[in-house]
Amino acid sequence: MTEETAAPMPGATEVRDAVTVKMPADSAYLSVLRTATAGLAARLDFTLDEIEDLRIGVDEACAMLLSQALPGTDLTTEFELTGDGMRISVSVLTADGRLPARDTFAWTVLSALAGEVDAGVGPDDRVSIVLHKRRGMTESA
Amino acid sequence: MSADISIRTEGDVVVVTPAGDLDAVTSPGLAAVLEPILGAEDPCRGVVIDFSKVGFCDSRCIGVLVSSYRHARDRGIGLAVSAPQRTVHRLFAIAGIDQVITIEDDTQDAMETVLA
Repeated sequence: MTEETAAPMPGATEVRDAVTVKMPADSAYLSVLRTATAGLAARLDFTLDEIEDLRIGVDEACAMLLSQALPGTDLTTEFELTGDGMRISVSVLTADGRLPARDTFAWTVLSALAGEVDAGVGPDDRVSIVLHKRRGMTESA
Repeated sequence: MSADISIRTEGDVVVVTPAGDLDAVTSPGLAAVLEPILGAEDPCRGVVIDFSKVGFCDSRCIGVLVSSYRHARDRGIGLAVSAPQRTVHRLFAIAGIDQVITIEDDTQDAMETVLA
């Protein structure tokens, strides 16, 4: 996602709903990111259960990535409104570009809650996890 | 940052009450409190983890609960979780740990369950 959000023109009705949060790649900031996630999801008419799913999903994705983040770098989270939900991409710079293991309990929880989940590696061994949560798809437990 | 965790003993039962969020940062603190209780030379008969003050938990917290459950079982100690908030209880159900660990709505009930 390299496209920059254009400054809305006076009277423009369309604002691209994208928010990027950048913070130190340190687990001490997990709670801040959970709060930001809940705040953004609440803007999009997600139900309380869906907001909680996103909060846990982002937390799990970040905790996974932080274990391999290069010290002193940032964790970048991009939230983007899609037609029917929200896409969240979390990424960190790593030493070896290793994808998160999918046979862990954390991945099971993540994929159970976050809807579509995928992981990938970009330039500079930047590893990302992308969640795409759609509204109205949550089964009540 | 660590979760604020209080411990009280009532008869043969130890009640552990964490407060706040239990995530990758704070869950090890819960493990550090539970380990010496479950590993004591002359252990208690039951442990209740009162979740009423926990607003968030994730897979790391569930991992601590499951390993504590196994430790307790191996030592013949009853272990239960009590009073989780709705969102936390929902995660327990999605993760399936309510099939493994006893979860009671009421802490007093849980204290009786672990001694049964």
